[in-house]
Amino acid sequence: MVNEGRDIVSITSDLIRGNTETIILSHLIEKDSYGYEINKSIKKKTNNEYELKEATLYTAFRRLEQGEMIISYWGDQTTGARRKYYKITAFGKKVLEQNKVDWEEAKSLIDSLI
Amino acid sequence: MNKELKIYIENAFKYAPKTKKAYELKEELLSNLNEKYNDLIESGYSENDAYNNVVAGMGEVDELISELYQPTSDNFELVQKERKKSALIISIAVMIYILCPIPVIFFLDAFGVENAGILVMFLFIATATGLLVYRGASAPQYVKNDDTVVEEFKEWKSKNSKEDNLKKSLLSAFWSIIVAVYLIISFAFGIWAYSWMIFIIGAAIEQIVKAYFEYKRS
Repeated sequence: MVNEGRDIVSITSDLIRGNTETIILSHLIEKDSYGYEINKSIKKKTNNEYELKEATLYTAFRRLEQGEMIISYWGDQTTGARRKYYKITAFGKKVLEQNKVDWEEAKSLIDSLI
Repeated sequence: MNKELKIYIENAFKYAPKTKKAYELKEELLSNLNEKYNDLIESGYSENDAYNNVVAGMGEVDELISELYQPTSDNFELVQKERKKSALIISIAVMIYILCPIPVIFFLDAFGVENAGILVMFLFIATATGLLVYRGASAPQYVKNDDTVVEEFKEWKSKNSKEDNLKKSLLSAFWSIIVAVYLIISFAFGIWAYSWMIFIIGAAIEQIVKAYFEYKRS
């Protein structure tokens, strides 16, 4: 039984990992944000169950930035270390819309298969 | 700022390339991890537990760092630019080589003087050869990213090909000088019937010099 439970969790985390970029984009469409804040929000929305590994998160940032879906800028924190903020671009918004459509399609496809 | 966390990140970035991108990623990671650490402390974690939690949550940081090595589009553009520059230099040099007999013909026809034309021709040849040698010597060299054997091999290969470039430039200079000598001797003494032999002598000299360098290398 324990094993079964773990399998379900791993399917979910695989799905989350597979959609990291879309998740980031949908956070950034609400407001500009930085790594830890996005991760905190993911944790909160999933009732403390999921959190992205930093390596996954920052790799996704690099990819999104290279694909010109987001841009970055340094915040002007007066105390403590500087934060790097990310902002979604017009192209990023388009990609997000398309990804959402794709996801709905995939969802109904998987539903019909299992 | 947590000292241990800083040391952990410093260590992880020890072999990262010394680029602006790498420094920025380090700064970004540190500030985010530190905020997470402080939140954990505030929510009642011990310093040790908070540190372990943060480190465990990072995942494969090495993979993130290894991505810094991948050539960016900037780099690609730079290489393309260098290639274009190199092609332009070669084209100009070849054009000058082809045009170099013109002053001889021109001065001879217009003023009936031979020496002035030959002098200008030599200036043409010197300019073209200078361009080729400059190209060979200024071609960007591969700079190794880290201390691995693969990188050393790449650097070694790059050095060798640089040597080859220099050799090629010198060879083309050598052949243009042969052509110049052929023309001068032929015009000056009118010995067209024999002067072509200089090309055979030139080929022999080239082979001997090549053999000497091969011998020295091995």
